[in-house]
Amino acid sequence: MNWIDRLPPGMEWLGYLINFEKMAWADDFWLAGVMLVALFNSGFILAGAWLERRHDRRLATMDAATAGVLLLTGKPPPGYTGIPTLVRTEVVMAGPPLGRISARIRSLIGGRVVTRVRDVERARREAMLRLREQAVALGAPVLAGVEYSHLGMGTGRVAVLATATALVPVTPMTAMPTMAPQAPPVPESRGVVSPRSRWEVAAALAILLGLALIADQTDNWTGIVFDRVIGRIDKQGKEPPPAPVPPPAPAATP
Amino acid sequence: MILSTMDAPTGYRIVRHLGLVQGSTVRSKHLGRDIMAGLKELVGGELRGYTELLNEAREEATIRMRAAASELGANAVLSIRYGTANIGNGAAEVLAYGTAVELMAEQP
Repeated sequence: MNWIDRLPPGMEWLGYLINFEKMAWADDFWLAGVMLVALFNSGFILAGAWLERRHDRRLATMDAATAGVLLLTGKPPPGYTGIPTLVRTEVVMAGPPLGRISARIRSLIGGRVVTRVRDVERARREAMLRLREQAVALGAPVLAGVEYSHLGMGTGRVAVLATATALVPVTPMTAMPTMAPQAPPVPESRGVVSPRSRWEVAAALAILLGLALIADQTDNWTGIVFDRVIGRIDKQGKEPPPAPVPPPAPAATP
Repeated sequence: MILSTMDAPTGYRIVRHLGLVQGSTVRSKHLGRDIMAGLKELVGGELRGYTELLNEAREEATIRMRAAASELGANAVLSIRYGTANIGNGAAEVLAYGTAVELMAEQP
C-alpha cells in the first residue's frame, strides 16, 4: 500500500497524475511520445547536418578571382590606389541542432565549446566570402580597412558584421588578377576547426533511435520504473508478499 | 560622395575637416519573418530575415550619415564606423559615424 492507493474518494485524480499504470492507454501514449520525439529530433539533426555540410562545401570551393582579392586591415601599402568604395556585409546564422545539444553537454563539463567555435567561424568566413564577392563585382583587387564586429542575437544565434573599403581602379579592369589558376586556401580559412565529422552525426542518430527501440521493446517500461520508485514491485519485478493479516483480537470476556 | 573606412585614402588630399557626422536607425522585421526565423533556427543555417534586417538598418544609417555630410558641404566621409546594439527580440539599432571631409584628388 502506498499513498496513491490511500487517496480519499473524490481525490483519485491526484494519483492519476503520476501513476501512469492506472491509465489503460498510458503505455501506448508514452511509447508514441518517445518515438515521436526520437524521429522528429533525428530528422532535424539530419537536416541540420546536411545544411552545415553544404555550407562548408561552399566555403571550401572558392574560384580563383574571389580568392585573389587581397584583404587588409588598416591602410593599404603604397602603390595600391583607386576610388575608395564602402562595402559591407552581414551574416546572421544559427547553429545546427546537434551542435546545440553538444554545446549544452559541454557547458556542464566546461572547456572549449568547439561547436560554438565552428558556428562563429562559419559566419565569419561567410561574411569574408561575401566581401570578396562584392569586391569582384566592383572589379577591385584590394579590400582595405577590413573590420568585423560580432553581435549576439538571442541564444544560439551569431551575427557577424563586416565593413571594408574597396579600392576600385579608375580604369576598369578586364580580368581580376589571380594568385594561381587553382585557388589556394584563402588566409581566413587557415587555423579553423575541422568540420563536424559524420561519425558524430551517426552516433547521435544511433543513440536517439536506440532509445526509441528500447522503448518499443520494453514492455510497460514506464510502469516498471514508476512501480519500482513507489515500491509496488521489488527489484526482480515481483510484487512484494502481502503484509500478514494481524490475528483477530481476542474477544473481550465480559 | 566617397565613403571609406580608412583614415586617409591614398591618392587624395584632405582639404578641409568638417567634423563628425552620424546617422542612426532602429528597425525590425514583421512578425512573420520572426516566426520563420524561429523555424529556420530548428535546423540551423543562415537566418535570412535577420540578415536582411541588419543590412537594411546599416543601409539606412549610412544614408542618413551621408545626408548629414552633404548638408555640411562635404564630398567624403572617412573613418566610418558602425555601432550596432541589439534591443530585445528582432530589432536592430545601428549607428553609423565618420569624419566629414572635403577631398581633392592629388595630381600625379
